[in-house]
Amino acid sequence: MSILRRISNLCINLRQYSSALYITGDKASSNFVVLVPHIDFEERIENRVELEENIKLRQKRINLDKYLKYWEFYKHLHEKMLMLNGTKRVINEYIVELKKEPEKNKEEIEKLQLHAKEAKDNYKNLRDYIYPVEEMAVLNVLSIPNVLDKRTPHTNHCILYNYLEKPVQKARNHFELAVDSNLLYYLNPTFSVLENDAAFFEHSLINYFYDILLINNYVPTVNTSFTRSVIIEGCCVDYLDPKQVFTVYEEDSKYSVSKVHFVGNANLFSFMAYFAKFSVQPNYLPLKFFTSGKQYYPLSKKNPPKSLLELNQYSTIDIFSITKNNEQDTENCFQDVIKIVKQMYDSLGYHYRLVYLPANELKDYETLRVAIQMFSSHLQTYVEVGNISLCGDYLSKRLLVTYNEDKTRKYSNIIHGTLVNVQKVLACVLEYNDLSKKKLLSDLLKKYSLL
Amino acid sequence: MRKIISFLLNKPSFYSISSRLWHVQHSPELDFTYICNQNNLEDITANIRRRKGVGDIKLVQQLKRDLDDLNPTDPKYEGAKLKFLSECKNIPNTTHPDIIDYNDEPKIIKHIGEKKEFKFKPKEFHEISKRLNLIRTEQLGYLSGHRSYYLLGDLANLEHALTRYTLNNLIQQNFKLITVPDILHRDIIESCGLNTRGERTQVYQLDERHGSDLCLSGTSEMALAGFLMNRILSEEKELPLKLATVSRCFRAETSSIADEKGIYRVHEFTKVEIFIVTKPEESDNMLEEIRNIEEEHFAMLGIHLRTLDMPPHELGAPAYRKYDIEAWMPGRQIFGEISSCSNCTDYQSRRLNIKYSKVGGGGTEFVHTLNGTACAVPRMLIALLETYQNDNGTISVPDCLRRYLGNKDVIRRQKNVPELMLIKNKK
Repeated sequence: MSILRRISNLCINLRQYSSALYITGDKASSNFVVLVPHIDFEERIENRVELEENIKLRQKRINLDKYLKYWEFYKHLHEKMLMLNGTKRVINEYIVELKKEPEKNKEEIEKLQLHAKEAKDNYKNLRDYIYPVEEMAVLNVLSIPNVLDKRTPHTNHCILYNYLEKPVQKARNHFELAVDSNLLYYLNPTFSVLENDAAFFEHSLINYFYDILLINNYVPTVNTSFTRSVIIEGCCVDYLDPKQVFTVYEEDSKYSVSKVHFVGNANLFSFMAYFAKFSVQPNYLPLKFFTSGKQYYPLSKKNPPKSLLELNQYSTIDIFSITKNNEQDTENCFQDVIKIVKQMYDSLGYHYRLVYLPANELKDYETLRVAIQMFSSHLQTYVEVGNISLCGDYLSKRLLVTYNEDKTRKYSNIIHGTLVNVQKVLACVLEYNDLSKKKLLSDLLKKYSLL
Repeated sequence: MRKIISFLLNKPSFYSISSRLWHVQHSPELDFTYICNQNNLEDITANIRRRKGVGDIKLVQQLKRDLDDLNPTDPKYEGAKLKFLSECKNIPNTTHPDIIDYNDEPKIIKHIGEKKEFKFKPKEFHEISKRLNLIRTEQLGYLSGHRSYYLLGDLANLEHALTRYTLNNLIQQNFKLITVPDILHRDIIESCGLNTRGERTQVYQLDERHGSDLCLSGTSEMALAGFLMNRILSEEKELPLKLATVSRCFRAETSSIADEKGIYRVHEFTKVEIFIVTKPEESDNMLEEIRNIEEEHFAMLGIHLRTLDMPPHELGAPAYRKYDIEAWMPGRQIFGEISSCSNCTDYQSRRLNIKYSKVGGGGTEFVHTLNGTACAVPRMLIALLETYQNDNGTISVPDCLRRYLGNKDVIRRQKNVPELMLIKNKK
């Protein structure tokens, strides 16, 4: 096999591993195009100073000059293609006209047919050439993160709310405490079991948060645990990275851009899979959904310590709100979630705080992230036991979560939050209780336990 | 070059869980005395035939003779032993004498309640739930996968209520609540008697880059059995051990049966499962107790039921006896299986090394394990919605569930869930 052929095969292979979110025309015959993301790069680049500052604060390695150059080249080729297409059409129309008197116009028809063929060939050549350029340019701009909310701190955490005082003393490790009290059976990070009061703690906490959300008019859903690659990539996660997302083994899916991923039924992905590519009637907005379920993700560390903070599986309650694309509606909804979170956590009676995370700790789709943090009295650090993310219209544009207003398509603002991660809360509470000698099942939780 | 790229892109993650962290024994202490006794050849052959199962007892006994002829120091010995063990594991459990003559048909042993009379033609679940905007099953294949579904509003609430109600009942019956993992090592699932390989397997596997042999749990029975793996329970303090859990179950369900619309057969669902460990002499009675608990629990929900004593070929490899409980689904006009309970005797405990220590230092022995479905949500929702539908299209809530639904007595059309309109692709 010639070297050229090998290089060409290599390119084909590499390109087969490419995007699940943006599929160019040449691949559309072998891959179903689920959706075409809306790209707002040209609007974003209008405020270049802000965009550069954003990229710098997020500490992203993005060369905006290069991205812009690629984008402009792609647009240039695209225009040329449109022009050729137009030329082709005009010539063909003229030929049709001339053919009404074929004998008279014979010579001219033949000449024009030659021109038409040339335009057609050029168009075809350009089309084949433009695909890789298009893919590169579009994937570049799709990797640019969301805008930043004004409240997102540049470098340090910013405390928004603090409830009770941080314990001063160092506690025993929650893992030892849990194992010693027969609350936890742990084989490895994939296989752990909550027993006795810890099992009741999980059910009570979930029931308690569930009921509060119901009272606050959030609509419960039961979601699916599997999500396709397009949704994963749409939510800014590399669907091919085994350290970021579980993939289900399927025969013959090695080169597929539509793999099935095992993510759990309470997370951003499963909500986005519900709304992606759909339009909602605006009179339903703001929509406030919530779900109680599981999250599964691969471990981020090699040889993690034995801990409830390093598991493959967590029980969580997630909220997902969609509002119209205006600041006030979204802000109202956001403040509503903050109020509910305070209501939930204040009554648990343990120290926690709400913190705005700095730009470099945000996910690409977030404009603002509020971390709900409890303190690990053993590790002497704060642990994120939940979060609220403002996503603006960034995810909606990528995965088409829309509504129609004044006969135009609008992209919704999205708020997502994992309001509680039960195992992480349990870890912190066990350590708080080691110092305060409180019981795991407080009177409040007992009310929400099973009986 | 292709191989290098393929390797680079498929290399195992460094963060995968190594197989050795699962501690599943590879040389289980099966009942070799019974299996290898030539006098039992005829009985075991007949049992395998009756159960229409796999397993070749003649081969097992031949392999045993070959193994006995080899000296343990012989280099071929380990290989021969592995082959012998692997064939032994294929031999199914023995069968309860009462059901041996059932042939291919289950025996209906009980009816509970009566078929509800309707003054109108009762509708099927998917029609009722669609009309009330309680479910989404369409246009999800390319977003979340084949046969996905989302329960919305009151139907999601009903799932939550059913699990709370079921767990409550079980706690009152002295079941111990635990929470279980949903990702399991292949060996745990196979030790419970389920095949994880081949085209027809029901078991999902994770990509090998996440670590070798990670599978998704098809029923929490496996995680519960895995939880007890390699343990010696105290007869005096711990037996009988009654466990209950609620978990998500994942099934590859390769068969596609056209008439099963809606959520009758799905790839994932929520289920409350019970798992019981007893002394060998108590497992027969315990199976009857589980059946009673399940029958009473379902009867309280006001659905019409029948209980079947299953024939040998329906038992799978691990069960010694199995009851299925079926609910009448008035819309579909069929009895649909909503629950089953099995006595697996020592089939699982030998493979997972679960023993008990006898009172007064009488040594250890393998326990018997039993399992049962306390509530498989989708089928229960079908039975409930079809039974409790009203002629105006609403659904009445069964009395015993109302307290978990904020005293709601009727489920109406969801007004807070929008209908979604598909966006067509345009460049």
